[in-house]
Amino acid sequence: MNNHEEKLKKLKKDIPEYPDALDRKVFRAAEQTPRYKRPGFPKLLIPSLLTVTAVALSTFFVTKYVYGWNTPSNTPSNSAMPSDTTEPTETPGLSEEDGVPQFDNTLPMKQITVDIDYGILVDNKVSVVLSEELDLANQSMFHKNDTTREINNLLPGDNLEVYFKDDSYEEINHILVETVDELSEIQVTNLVAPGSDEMDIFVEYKDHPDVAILHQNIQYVINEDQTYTPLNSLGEMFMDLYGTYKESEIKTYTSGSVTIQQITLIALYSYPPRVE
Amino acid sequence: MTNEQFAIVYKTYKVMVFQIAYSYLQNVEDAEDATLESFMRLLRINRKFASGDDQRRYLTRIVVNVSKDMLRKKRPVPISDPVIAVNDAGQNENNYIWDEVNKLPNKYKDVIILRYINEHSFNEIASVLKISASAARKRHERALKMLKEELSHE
Repeated sequence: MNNHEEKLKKLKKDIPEYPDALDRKVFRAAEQTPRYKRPGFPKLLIPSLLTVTAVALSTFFVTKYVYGWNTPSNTPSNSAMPSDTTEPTETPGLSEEDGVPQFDNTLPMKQITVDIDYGILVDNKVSVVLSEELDLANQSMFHKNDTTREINNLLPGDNLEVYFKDDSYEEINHILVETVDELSEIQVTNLVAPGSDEMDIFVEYKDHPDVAILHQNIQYVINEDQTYTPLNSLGEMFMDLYGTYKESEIKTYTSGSVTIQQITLIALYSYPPRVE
Repeated sequence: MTNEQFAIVYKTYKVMVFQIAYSYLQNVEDAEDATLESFMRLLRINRKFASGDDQRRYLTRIVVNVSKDMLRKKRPVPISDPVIAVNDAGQNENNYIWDEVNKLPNKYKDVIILRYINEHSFNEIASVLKISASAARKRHERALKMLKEELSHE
């Protein structure tokens, strides 16, 4: 066995030297190669949030130390006692203070309604239906917990979490599945799952190198028998898959002199899904 | 990844990538194409890596996949192509071993190339191929056994 191992080690010496001419070719190609834009925190949002936070803090301190804690804004208080009660609100769990809804994390959730059927169409875009109050509370906390109201590729049995004003959270238990009527089908090839603890899938659209394909939140390939294969356990690294996306969500951006269409996939299939 | 960062990554790993590509494709031009494509993929993916090792494994996985994909697209060439014949006896033997390595099923060939060309440890092979280290060892053993059987026929 060792003899054969020695022979195998010698194979490396057979490999020709790296062709130096390739350097220039690679660097030239690198300059023209677009980089995927990864979704990140919008830079313009940061100063806006800082401003909002500053205003909110000012309002808080003015309210607390000048007008008194918990005093309704339309009735200036002559008391600064925190124990003063507010007027009761119509909705349990929600109070109003200076017109800002205050969610106290006690609203009951509705019952679960999950109806995701991958077999009929690509009905895998779900909207989370929140109570109006919870929605307001979450909107005011968007910068903290990024509550998503539309979630792609929720699998039956998945849990969703909604964050409340404090650091606690609860599972969402009312989900409405929407029918998506603007889907288009593409054939995705060359799905590469480079080895890493953190999955990162690279997808190419055959013969369209100028199309960047994103596949946010997709963790599974949906099989024809309605089973799901985790992306990181696909046997073949290169395989033809079928991706679906909404035509209305194709984004175009430029990288250098190159114009790129960016498609965000909604789902990946190991078989041609029916798209109506 | 900026162009400057890319230049550093490229200089660090270009030989490794080329050697892996050549091991699969056995042709300088194809290996050049695979090398180019692998680095462009790394650029397009535009991912941040926790460490240099992470990046190395990632790039290894890319070039393995790119090379295999190119192999699949290539028209099959007869293995004992007379054009390959070389005068030097040692070189001729190496060609024969290359042929046998390339005849191995992919999962065994991967291990052999990563182990002997890329000089990966079993843990690294496991990480690249997304298998356990013990599975990597087992594949290595089986691959050597298969090669031994084939080579002893000559």
